[in-house]
Amino acid sequence: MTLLALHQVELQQSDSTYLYQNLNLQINAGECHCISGATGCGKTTLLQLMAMPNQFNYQGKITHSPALIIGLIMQDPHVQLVRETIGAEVAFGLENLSVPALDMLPLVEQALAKVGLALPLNTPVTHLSLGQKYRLMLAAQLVFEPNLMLIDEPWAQLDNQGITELCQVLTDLLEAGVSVVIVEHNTAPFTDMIDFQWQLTSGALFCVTHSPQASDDNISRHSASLCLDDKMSVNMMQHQNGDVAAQSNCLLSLSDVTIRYANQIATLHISDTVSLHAGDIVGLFGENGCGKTSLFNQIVGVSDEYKGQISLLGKTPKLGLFGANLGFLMQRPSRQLFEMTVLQELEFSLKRFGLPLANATEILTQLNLLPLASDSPHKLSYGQQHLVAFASVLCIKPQILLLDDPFAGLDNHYFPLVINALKHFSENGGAIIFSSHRPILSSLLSKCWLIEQQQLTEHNVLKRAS
Amino acid sequence: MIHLKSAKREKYTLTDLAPEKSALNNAILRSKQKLILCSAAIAFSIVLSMSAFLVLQQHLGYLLLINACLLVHAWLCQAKLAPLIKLFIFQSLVTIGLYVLLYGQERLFEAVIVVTRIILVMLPSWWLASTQSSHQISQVLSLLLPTKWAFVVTTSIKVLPFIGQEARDIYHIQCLRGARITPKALMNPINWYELVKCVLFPLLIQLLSLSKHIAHSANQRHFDKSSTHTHWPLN
Repeated sequence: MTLLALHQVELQQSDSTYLYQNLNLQINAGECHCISGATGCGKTTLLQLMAMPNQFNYQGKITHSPALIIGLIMQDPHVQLVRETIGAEVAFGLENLSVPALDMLPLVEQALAKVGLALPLNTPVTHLSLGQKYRLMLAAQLVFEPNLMLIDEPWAQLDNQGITELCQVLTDLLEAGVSVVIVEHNTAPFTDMIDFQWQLTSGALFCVTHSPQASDDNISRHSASLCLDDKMSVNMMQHQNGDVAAQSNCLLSLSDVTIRYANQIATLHISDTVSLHAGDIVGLFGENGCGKTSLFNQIVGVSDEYKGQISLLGKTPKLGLFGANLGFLMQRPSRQLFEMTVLQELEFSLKRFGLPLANATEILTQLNLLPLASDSPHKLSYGQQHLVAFASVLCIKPQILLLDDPFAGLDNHYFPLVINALKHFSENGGAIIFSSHRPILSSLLSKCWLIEQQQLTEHNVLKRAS
Repeated sequence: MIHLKSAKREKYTLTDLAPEKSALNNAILRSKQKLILCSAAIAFSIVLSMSAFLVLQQHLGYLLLINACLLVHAWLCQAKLAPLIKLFIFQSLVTIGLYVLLYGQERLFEAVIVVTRIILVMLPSWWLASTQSSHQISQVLSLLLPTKWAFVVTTSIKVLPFIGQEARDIYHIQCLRGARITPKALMNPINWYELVKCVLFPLLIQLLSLSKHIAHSANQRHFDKSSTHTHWPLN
């Protein structure tokens, strides 16, 4: 049975260019479709168009089966949760359908059970990890018993455990006859369940031959040695302190540090001394909610909720103390954009720190962003904004570069550009720490800091001969 | 209209949950009690806020006393007082500063009274948002207001902490980018424009984006499908 069909769909953007032209797609019951495509090609908009066609001024035909019930999960859970407790969140849709109050209880419990969220119904949403919030959003959709689930880029949001749990839920749904459409750059984790793989290019969908070889190729293009990187932990050994040569030129050290979070429940401990030197590239890895962002906040001086010793460039961290010597890219870095053009955005910090404005053009060229130099950063796609923010931090050429989850949402086109920029930065003596909720890019790292069970430990990385 | 298969198949009554019946009944009873308290709290905060402008100057002391009790109560309910105090200090400095600039020092006392009244208007609403859940407030407001308005009001209250965190994050990142918006730099009014430009402007963009996402999320969950809404029984 065909649940949803798009026939010769066209959609114009505000600048009169076509986002989609002659776009066709048919989704039948029980099928799993995966849609990939470059950053900014309109994957997310396509999901919204499928779910809420009446909110778009499109040409062509979008047919919804009378039996169609759609569940839609967008990228960021934080902006979609509307209630304070998990029970109320899942029940929100039932309230809107005027389901009697007592009838809601079993429906909510069933939906939460389906996603494996076995928590009391009055658990505050704020107490959940990102992965749990994602599953809560899923439960909030499953409570309607949808026969088509639309999911937007889960891989970037969830850690490996979260992805494993999501795959299990989706597999169960597919077995129950529910259709699934996933929009995703990295299709590898979902290979086993995908029936149809599509590439969104030039406004149209092209079917990609689905084979193991294709998947491997996809992975290798996506993130250097990602396929191998998940096995990185077995190739690592605990870092030995006391390397005299390495002690010189130490830019950052953390000794016997304990970080207490704002809610004062969990803490992150660093028992030994961990350090960062000029030219180092350090990967900070840990699951969602383990304290990576909190650690960055202590290092840059945004927060001082720690005990122990943190020394950055020989000083105790304080906001604004390090000027152009410290570059920090926050999560969702598009939040920092405010200027009228991309070039002005880069020049802002250069002017404030009295650095040569030519740095801006140099970095834009390096990241293939020069054609966007006179565009408004606010009209760029998510990935492009991400890259502009990255460029604005990189162009001041700091001694230390801290990047909080810098690869989230970057596609195959932009990913290698960022990697090359980081390599170039490191080769010129810059030190980098980047975080991720899964071990990646082992071939690039000097060492990695792993957070497990609230303990951060430093490990050397044994690089592969290849 | 969506018909839920499970709802038909497994019609739920309290007797189906024999072992948990008592606990569930207690939870629902507690929720109802909380709802009544929330209704009273809403009425109380509205009256208190209105009084801040209506009472005579010589009676402001009584209002200050009542609001001090609200502060203590909110503090006992784990509410964070620091952001509120900072806001009040900022509000006081701006208002009194403008009065002094416009009218000179002879109307300083009048400025203090105006600031006090503004604080007394805001404080009950803050107390309400800090001590009551947005779901309960929504449930009460939906009795008085159209459902859409009740949702807008309560969601606005709910996202206040998120907005605050966004504002802090943007401020910190712009400080690290060299913006002249540190407390010391802001002593110079010339730098106030920089605060507006690189913190408030991106924050506004984030808020517009947030409202769009929440609207999509609510609509996608059938918010506009029915004119009548029921309510989750456990608070």
